[in-house]
Amino acid sequence: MKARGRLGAAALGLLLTVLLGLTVIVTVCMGKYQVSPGESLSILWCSLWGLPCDSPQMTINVVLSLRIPRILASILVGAAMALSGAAYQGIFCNPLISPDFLGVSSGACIGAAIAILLGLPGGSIQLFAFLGGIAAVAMAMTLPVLLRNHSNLMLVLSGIIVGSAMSSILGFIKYVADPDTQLAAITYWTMGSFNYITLRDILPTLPFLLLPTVLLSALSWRIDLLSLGESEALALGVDVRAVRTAVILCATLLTVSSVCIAGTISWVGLIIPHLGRMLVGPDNTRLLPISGLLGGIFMLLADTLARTVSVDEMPISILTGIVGAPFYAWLLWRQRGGSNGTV
Amino acid sequence: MELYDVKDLHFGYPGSGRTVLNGVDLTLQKGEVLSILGPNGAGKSTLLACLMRLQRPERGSIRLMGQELASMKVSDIARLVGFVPQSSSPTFGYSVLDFVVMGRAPLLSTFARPGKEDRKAAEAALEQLGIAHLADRACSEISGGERQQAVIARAIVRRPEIILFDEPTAHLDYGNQLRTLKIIKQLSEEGFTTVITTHNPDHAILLGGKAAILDRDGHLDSGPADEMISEERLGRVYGAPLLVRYVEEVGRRVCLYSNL
Repeated sequence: MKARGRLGAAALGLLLTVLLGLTVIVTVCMGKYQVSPGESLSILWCSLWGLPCDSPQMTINVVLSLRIPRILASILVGAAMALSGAAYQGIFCNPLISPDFLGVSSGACIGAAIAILLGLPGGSIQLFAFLGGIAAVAMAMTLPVLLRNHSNLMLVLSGIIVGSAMSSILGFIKYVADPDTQLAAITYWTMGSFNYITLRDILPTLPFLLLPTVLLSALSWRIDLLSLGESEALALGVDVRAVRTAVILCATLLTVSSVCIAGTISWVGLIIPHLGRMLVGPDNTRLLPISGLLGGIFMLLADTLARTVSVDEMPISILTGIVGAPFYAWLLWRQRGGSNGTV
Repeated sequence: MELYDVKDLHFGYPGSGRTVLNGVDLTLQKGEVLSILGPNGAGKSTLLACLMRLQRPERGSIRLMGQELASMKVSDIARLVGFVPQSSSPTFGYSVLDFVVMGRAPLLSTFARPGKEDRKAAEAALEQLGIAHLADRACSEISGGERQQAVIARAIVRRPEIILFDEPTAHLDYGNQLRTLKIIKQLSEEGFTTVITTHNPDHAILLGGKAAILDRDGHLDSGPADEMISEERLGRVYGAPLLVRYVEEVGRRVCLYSNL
């Protein structure tokens, strides 16, 4: 089952890339408005090369303006969450950590909620969410500096402190928000959705998704070293604080950009790295790319389910939770044979 | 050549009020074997942590191969000194080979990944410790003794000058203790300068070379192991009546408890 070797991981990566491509083709066709696979492929092909297309304008609009942005967004968000989850779990030597444990998501929600409360226009909600997420992590990172304790544990505790403070503030904002209009919009943010996404929502976040991805893959072997624990990593000559800070920065940018695109989405960042480790082992040079691919596929499937399963759009976190929780239990059951927490 | 030159080292954990190291002086010559003895909690591990700069002393100086340790780069220290921690239980189940390859980190730049040469060196280190057959096993699935050997392989894979062993026998059964001591002896014969901490005086006698005794007040006394291991001195340090006797069958002195 475990493709431990470098070749095995590369083959699996290729397989998953093909699978992702196939999933895209299948999901483009799914939805209330039926499009055949051949037609959707020809529309994609034509638009890619700027050729005239003989499909009805309605079909072209559905594929290019509705489904493709949404598919792209879900793949990007899924991959980003999985990647940042894997990186966080690595540097904190803790497979139970999810990407938002330093308060990123709740910070971003507060940012978005404040923008909604002030009645600011659409684009600034994203900007506020972005800044809110960064501010929350900055606070969580500052607390250990103030207390002169740079251990992992301190950082995790500080994340818990900031996270709970943020939840309370968010609760307060919801309490004072106008229940008819603002509250619904805030709830939309906290539950996550890919509805109404356009390419214009995705484009500004691209650099904040791509740059951290590149930096994380460059640092992937250093993440392995950090996952041995602080003192062992130091004894192996790793500049622990510098690498840890760089990884946290990258993972935070990935998470906060995801939240800007689709709101907060639970579970993906926690479970996908586990699945990845089951397939290729814990070595982050292999785990990170595989997790990214798995996350993209998983989120695309989950979102397709969210938009097709009922007449109304279902918030994505409901689905990732319904699928994620039993899946996580199954993963733990699969690993029950391993001694002292082999994950 | 002097590898380590420690002068008037003072250390206490912040807030504890207790002085763990109290004016420690120590030199380590190339090729030496040094056993640091002392009762539980005396600060043997703390001393090693200072030598590795995992802890920063309050005052005093440590020079590593002529350079001030405090101002060295962390990767330069790791290149010269290999460290075998008391116990290593990685959260993630890396294969033993991947685990040993990590010992090459100080030789590689921050963004580099280990290559063929690094894997070859790791395979050679596994071979040397006789655990080549474990290469593909997860390091979380092997026994404590085997993991100890993997950690030693990880320390020697970059060919450091010095290897520090922090209580290398603490979590091992009798057979594995003996095997570990043999490995340490072999490594020192091969030219590695080795330092171990232990609370068992027999280990110092077996390894020979130099011994240092750290007492509860944080004072360190060092000299040839033969001279340092005496009934009177051990009795004082451990606060218990101990006997040191020559045993014909093994051809060396051994340390014994007196009766209960």
